[in-house]
Amino acid sequence: MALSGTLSDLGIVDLVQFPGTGKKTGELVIAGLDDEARLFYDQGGLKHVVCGDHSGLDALVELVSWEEGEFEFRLGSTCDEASMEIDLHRALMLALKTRDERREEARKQAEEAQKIAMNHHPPAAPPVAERVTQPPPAMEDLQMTEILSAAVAHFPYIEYAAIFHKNGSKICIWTPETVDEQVYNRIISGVANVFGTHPRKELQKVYLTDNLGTCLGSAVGENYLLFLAAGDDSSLGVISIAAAKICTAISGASE
Amino acid sequence: MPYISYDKKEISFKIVYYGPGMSGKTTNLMQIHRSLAENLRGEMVSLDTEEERTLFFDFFPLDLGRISGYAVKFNLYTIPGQVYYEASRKLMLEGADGVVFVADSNPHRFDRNVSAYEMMIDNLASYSVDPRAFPIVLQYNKRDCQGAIEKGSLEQAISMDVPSINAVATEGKGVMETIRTISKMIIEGFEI
Repeated sequence: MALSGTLSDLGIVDLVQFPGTGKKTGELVIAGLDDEARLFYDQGGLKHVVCGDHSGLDALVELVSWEEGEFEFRLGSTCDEASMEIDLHRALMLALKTRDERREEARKQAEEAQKIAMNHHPPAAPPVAERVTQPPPAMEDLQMTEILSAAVAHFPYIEYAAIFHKNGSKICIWTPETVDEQVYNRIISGVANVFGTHPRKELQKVYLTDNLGTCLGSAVGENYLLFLAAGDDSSLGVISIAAAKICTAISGASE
Repeated sequence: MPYISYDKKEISFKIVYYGPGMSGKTTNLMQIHRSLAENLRGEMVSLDTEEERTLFFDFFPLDLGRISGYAVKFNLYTIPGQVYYEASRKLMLEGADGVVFVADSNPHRFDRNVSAYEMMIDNLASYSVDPRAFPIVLQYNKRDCQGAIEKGSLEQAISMDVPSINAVATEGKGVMETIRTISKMIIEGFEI
C-alpha cells in the first residue's frame, strides 16, 4: 500500500515526522525539483536517508529546504543500510538548525559582497525630489557645520546643537563655548536609541526636560537627526520652533 | 512521539493520563489547568464521540525552557470515567511520550488498578513501545481514603519499578509534582 501526495499539501517537516508518529516501517520517496530523496523508517525510527550525493544528516539538511515535489510512502519497504544514528526528531531539529545557519552565513556573505561592490562603484546620486527627504550620505561635514552654525545663530538660547546619523554617529557639532561633550554624547546615543527602537519607526521628535533645561531630537529626512539643547529659560514651544526652522535650513541646503 | 513545528518553533510532547474509572484522571487535568497562568495554557477541549469523551489541553511549562531554540509544549490527554472500549484505550496511547497512571488508593479497587495497568502495558507494547524504557509515573491518588493501599504494593503486583507519587487530586495535593516528574522524565529521555 502506498500513500502519496505533494509537498504543497504536506510540508516537508510534517512529512518527515509522520512515519515516526505511527511507528511505521517503510520507505518515503520524495521527488524534488533537482534530486530524489529516499528515507527509510524502521518502526518509526529513521534509519537511512539519501538525497542526491548526500546521505545521513547531510541528506536531511538538503531535504528540509524543499518546498516543491511529490512524495510516496511505501509501507513495509526495508533497507539494510543505516546512516542515521540519532533519533528522528533530534535529527530533524539538527538538520533545520544547520540549514538555518547555512542560510544566515550565505546571507552575510552576500551582504559583504554587496558592500565591497558598492565601495568600488558608488551608486548614482538620487533624483533631486528624493534628496529633500533623504539627504545623501556623501554630504560634507564641513558644509553641514556651516549650515548648522548659520541656522543656530538666530536662536541665542541654544547651548548645543549637533547633527548625527540615526545609527548614533555624529556628523557635526555647534557649540558657542566649552561644554561637557561626554554628557551630550550620552544623551545623543540615548536619543538615537529611542529613534532606532521606536516600534512604528516614524518617530518625529523626542523631548527631554529637566530643571537645567531641555534637549530635543528631531528627525531630518530618513537618515539624520538634529539634536538641540537649551537652558531652563526657554520653553518647549520656543525650542520646537527653533528645531523646525533649523531642520528646514538643513533640508533646504541639501537640495 | 514528539512533534516539531518549524513555523511556530515549538516541540510538543503527548502525555496521557491513564487509569481505572473514577481514579481521578479528570480531576488531575482540571487541577493542572486551573493552576496554570492563562497565557501559558490552551483551552480545555472536550472531544465527544457517541461512545466516549476525550479531554485535552496544551500548555507551555515555564521551568523546562527550550530545546535547541524550540519552545517545549505538552499536550495532555485523558478519557474520563470508565473506558469501555478497548480501541479507545489503545488509540489514546498512540504516539504518547509519557503516561501518568492514576491509581485509586481505595483497597477495594486494588484489582482494577492492576488490570488497568496490565492493559496499558499491553497497549503500549502493541505500538512497539518497551514499557521499561518509557516514561511512566505512578500516582497513588485518594490517599485520604480509609485503609489506603500501601505505597509500593502496586509496583509489587505488576512487577515493575516506576517513580510513584502520593496525591489527593481533589485538594490539588501531589498533582503538580506528578506532572513535573513526568515532564522531566520525557525531556531527559529526549535530550540523551
